[in-house]
Amino acid sequence: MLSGSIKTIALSSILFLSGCGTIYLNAPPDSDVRALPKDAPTTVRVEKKVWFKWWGKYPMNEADVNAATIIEEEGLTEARIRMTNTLADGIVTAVTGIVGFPRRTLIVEGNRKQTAAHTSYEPEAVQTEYDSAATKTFLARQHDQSNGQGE
Amino acid sequence: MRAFIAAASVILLALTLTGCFTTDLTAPRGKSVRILSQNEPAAFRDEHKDFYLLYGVLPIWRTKPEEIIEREGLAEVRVQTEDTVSDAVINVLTGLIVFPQTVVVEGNYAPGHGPADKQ
Repeated sequence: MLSGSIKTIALSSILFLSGCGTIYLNAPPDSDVRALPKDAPTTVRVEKKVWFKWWGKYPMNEADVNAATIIEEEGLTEARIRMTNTLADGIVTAVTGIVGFPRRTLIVEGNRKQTAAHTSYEPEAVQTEYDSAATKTFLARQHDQSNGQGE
Repeated sequence: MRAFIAAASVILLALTLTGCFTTDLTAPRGKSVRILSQNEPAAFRDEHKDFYLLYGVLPIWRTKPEEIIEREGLAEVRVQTEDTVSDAVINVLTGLIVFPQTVVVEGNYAPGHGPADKQ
């Protein structure tokens, strides 16, 4: 059993080291990127290590924490995104995390714009773009509110 | 010195074992789901806590955005994973055994699946 002071140090450190590392599984602005099912075939796979500083409080590079960056760089129109904290990340973070630099992994798999030679995933039942009355009303209200706040 | 080594060992062990936290953004089979950009408005927002035992080795509860998309009838979605201070507090209060992570799923409803449509 750890003594009180050691426990306090350990727990405080864990609290610090836990950080607030946020990763966004998103698409670039003004894009139409479709999410792929987990078993859909893909032609592109990009695995990126995401580094944080100050024990996870801030990313080393803001672009790295957004899957949108990879999607844009690769020109993907279909993608599935995975945020993971692998065992390798844990081992690396065991060293670098102590001095404030934890690491995560972001994986994006997908397909570029469909060509004649390539068949992308085709859903069985395609839904149209969202246009439900509820969503439109909500968005309009939100838009009005944000305009009101900005004035 | 021994106390420092003991504390460092606990921290190192905890960090080393932080493996296998995983959150996937995938679409349910047969659904067309658009991935939202970060600044687009979202009518739906759901925040979940994932729980892992032994610092990620054993998942107890993992949020599956795919199931939320299916259940809520979302046509557009984005996901965000975050290790919040409250996650760290839970971790500490459970004696460093339970490791939570916050997952936020945001999106917009498909036609006929909005809250008004369900009433």
